[in-house]
Amino acid sequence: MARIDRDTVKQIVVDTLKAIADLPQGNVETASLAMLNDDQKQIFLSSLKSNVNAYPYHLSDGTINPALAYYDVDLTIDTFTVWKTVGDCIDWVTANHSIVSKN
Amino acid sequence: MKFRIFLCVLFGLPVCFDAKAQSDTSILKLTNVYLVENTVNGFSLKLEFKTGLDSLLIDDEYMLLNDASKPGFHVTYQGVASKGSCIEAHTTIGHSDFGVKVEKFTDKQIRLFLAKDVQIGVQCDKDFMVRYHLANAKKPETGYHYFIVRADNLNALITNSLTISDSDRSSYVTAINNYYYFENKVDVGVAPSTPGAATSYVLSATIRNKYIPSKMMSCNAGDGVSTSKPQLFWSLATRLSTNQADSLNYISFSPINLAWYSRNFARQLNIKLSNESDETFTNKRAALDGSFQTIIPNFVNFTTPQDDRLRLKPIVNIGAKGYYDYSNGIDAFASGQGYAKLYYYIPVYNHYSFIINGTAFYDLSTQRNPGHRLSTNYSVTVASELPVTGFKAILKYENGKSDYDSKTGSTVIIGLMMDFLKDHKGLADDAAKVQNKLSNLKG
Repeated sequence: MARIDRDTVKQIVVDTLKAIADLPQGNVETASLAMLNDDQKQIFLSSLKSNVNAYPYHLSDGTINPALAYYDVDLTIDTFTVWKTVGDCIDWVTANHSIVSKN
Repeated sequence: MKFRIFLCVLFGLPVCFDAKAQSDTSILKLTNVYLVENTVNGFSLKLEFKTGLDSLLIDDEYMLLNDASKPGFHVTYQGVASKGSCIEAHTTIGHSDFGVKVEKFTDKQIRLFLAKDVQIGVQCDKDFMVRYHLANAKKPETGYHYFIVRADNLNALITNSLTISDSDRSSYVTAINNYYYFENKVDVGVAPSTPGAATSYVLSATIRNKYIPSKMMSCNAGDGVSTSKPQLFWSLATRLSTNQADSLNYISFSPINLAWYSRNFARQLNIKLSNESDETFTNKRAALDGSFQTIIPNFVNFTTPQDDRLRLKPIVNIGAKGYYDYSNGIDAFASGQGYAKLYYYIPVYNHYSFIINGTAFYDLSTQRNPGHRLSTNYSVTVASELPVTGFKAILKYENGKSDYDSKTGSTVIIGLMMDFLKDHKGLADDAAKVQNKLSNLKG
């Protein structure tokens, strides 16, 4: 259906991370998020939310319809505490994003 | 006998079909409703209705594209539809649950929202239909499951099960403050004795709060905090020690901080009015400070291809301040200072890190800087995380000249850092919920 699949969420998270960090050469999903300071968390969360909101609503036939709905994820600064690694963040967003009707 | 069986089958068939139709389109029993907070970018609250159908996946297109299956929610004021109010309600669709997102509310509106007397609430307009299929089916070959959601049931659930208490409201406003101004932090450590000084205990604190955090909520808050309108807050940064003569001690209190943010906070412009002093208030000054903060590219790399670690980019802050020095025992004078600050977390191989926090400054005052030299102060923290405990062992070395009284000093601190406010049980519960959802998705 029109939910964002894990691979797409991973791409969104990786693109978001590039605003604050250079990525490891190996598997990015095992990289720890424990060392971000408050400024970096603030930038990351805000960018992540913006990027999820900006990903256009996809219908199951592959077409997009941004006028119908948008993707969203509810975040607070405390959300960060459940993500030990980048992979945890990807799993969490995959499981917790929602679709918001525009009308 | 065969004829009897034939009659049973003949008259039983419609009953079977009817039973199938009933099971395929039954009334959806909502098990609970709870609030989900969002404080990042636009502030919002989501009322999420739990269906208990975790093994099924909602067909979101069916809900959005068909009028009969599209839920309609509206905000009510004293029981009737609210008109002329900016507060908005939109249907949200999750994996197996659905809800309503409430956003663009003012401070006054959120204080009335779902309070005991339900001055402001949310109501569902009409019955609607939800279509589900198995969560692990790419295409629903196994068929759809249809459920009717009764508006009366849903509205009763909101009215009877969901009241936002003063404590919940306070927690939400605190979460907004913590996102924009960071959680207030306190670190403690021990400075070992040296030939010139006894062992001392050191407390460092950083506190930043908006005067009235709830005032951040407005009709425009759905678009995030305005970048053109500055945010006003107060802050306190201090390093106190049982050794009051320690030249690195300071108290910086800023009753007025104004901050302008770029999109996603990547750049910040800050102006603040502060009083800066040592621990004994012997050396002190009032300062008007303007600074610009941004992220710059990495310029060192101490990891190897085998060490999968993020290399966070350094944060720099460049600024200038004018100050009025009214320290004890001197003639008060006015002068200025330019400065640059750097925060850099450098991962080293797999388990170690350097955390560099440094300031370089040039003081224009001949009293404070008679040699007209560029001065620095910095701290280098070597950290190693202790698995499971959440503690981080630190060895911190501080060195340099204080930027307000020109005293120099250095110290080594051995300590532990941890997030004292972390709710470990809550985190474990959250992690378990996510794991359950993922298991269902993967089938």
